[in-house]
Amino acid sequence: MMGTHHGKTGADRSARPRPSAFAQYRALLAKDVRQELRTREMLTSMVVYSLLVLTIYGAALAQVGDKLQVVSFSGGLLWALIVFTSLLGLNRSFSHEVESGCLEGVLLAPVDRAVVFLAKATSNLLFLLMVESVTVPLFFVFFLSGAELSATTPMILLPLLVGTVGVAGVGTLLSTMAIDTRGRDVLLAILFIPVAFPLLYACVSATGVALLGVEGTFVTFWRSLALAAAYDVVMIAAAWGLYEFALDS
Amino acid sequence: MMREKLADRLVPALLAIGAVLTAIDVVWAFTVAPLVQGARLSEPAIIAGQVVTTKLLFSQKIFYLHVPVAVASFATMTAAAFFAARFLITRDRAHDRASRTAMQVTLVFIIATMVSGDLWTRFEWGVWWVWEPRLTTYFILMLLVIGYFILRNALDDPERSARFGAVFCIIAFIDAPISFLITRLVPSSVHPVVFRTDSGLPPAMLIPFLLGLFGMCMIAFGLYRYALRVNTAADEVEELKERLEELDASAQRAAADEALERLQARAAALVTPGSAVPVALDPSASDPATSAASPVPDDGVDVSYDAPVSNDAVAVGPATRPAVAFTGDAPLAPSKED
Repeated sequence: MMGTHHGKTGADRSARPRPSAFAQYRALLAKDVRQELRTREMLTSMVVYSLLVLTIYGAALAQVGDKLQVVSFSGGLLWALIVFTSLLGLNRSFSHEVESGCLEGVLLAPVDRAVVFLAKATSNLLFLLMVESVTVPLFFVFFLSGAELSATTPMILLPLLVGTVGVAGVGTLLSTMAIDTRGRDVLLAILFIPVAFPLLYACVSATGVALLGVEGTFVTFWRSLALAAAYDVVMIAAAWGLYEFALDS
Repeated sequence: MMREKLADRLVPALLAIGAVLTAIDVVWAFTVAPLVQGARLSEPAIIAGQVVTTKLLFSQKIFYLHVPVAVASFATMTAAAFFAARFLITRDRAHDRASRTAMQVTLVFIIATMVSGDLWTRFEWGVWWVWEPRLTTYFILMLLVIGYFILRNALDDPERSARFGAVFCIIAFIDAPISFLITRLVPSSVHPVVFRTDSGLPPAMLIPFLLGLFGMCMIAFGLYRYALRVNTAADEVEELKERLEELDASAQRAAADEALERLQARAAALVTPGSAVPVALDPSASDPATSAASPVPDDGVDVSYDAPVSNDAVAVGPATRPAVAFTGDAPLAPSKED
């Protein structure tokens, strides 16, 4: 995979110096994207799963007549959907790496572990964003189509982005540790949900404010967003630093 | 090494002092310390439909136990994260053991805090649970510590268990300062900020509180040292068991090798003389039987394994077959192990 991406021929490659960290990052990222585009393993299962969660929401909200009520807690519903979908995706993202022995190959290559982490986190972020671009509009279609949306609704994109970055960062570290443990799927949820809780809390609060769009509440929006961003920085820094210990060398 | 021993000798004394201090704290809290008017709120507040400043809060007595226990849980968690970081740097199993032990003590204190805090919530705020920032972050802390142990139990390899446990311990620890400081960060929190210079606690309340605080920290440290000794002993036993199993396995292999060699030697002896075959077929012939039986007591380890093989070998008769049949059971190149 790496060979096909950079370096024109084999002879050329052996002569040239070690590729830069950015080239390694790009190669690893390209590998992940290409693999996903060919198998569509993660994307398909995540989209289908999120549809199922939306169906369950449909049953749960069947008795709620007032659309305004739905708007007031739809931020939380949206984030519950995102968290559960991401959990599924994060579990899948490493399973095919292990099944085909790909991770071992990557680890054998003289690549810095931090680069491996960044590439994996970025690919996870990309896939999560792709899925969100499908599920969030679907959520609006299913549950908020009759409701009067406030003018500030597009601002939910900010917490969505910040939140997804954090989910991808922490999730990559935790799912690496959970790869070959007993009861992997449950374990990832047990580890991930408490760790991601502060982020979730901040993002729900920011999303809720943006959806309701009440004048004067935007202090909360920006403060929650700042909190989520601070969480992202701290957690991604910690995950980056600790990633080499989470991999089997 | 000497310091370790000294600390261990001090542990019972520490535990006793801690228990005494905590007992004084509790007695003082219920006798001398005045009833609190609304937990020292600066302005009247309505909590659970009541103006708190005018109400004498008996449930506030929990404060003298609840806060020290909570502080002790933060302290032990800090120690756990510290040892986890040291383990990742040094890869010394002793640090991992210290970190794991500190996490165990943390879990005990967290559960104690949750129980006492929940009583407070029920009787002071009128609800069993409220998603208030401090409660939420502390609840998350408990889930993280529980998750830590689930993660460690899900990994079979002790080295990986230690490494992943340390990583997760550090990640989980990030929540501890958040939980500790959240009452300052979120002013709307119902939880009072306890640690501040202008807390205004009168001596009749401050002294028992501080006694409880130091007492609980001593108890936490004493428990940690005791648990550490138990865990150290458990790890040693585990190691000894493994070594014993290894010794046992190698002894068995050695016995098997010896039996194989003996059989081969006998087979060679049977093949070369012309009269070999009749001797082997005749059961009354005592020569091979005695030669097979005499080394058995010398092995001492695995008589039952040795004996049937040699009997079988004698019964089969043809000289080279037994050796081939036997190598099927034993490792293919056993002599290299010796």
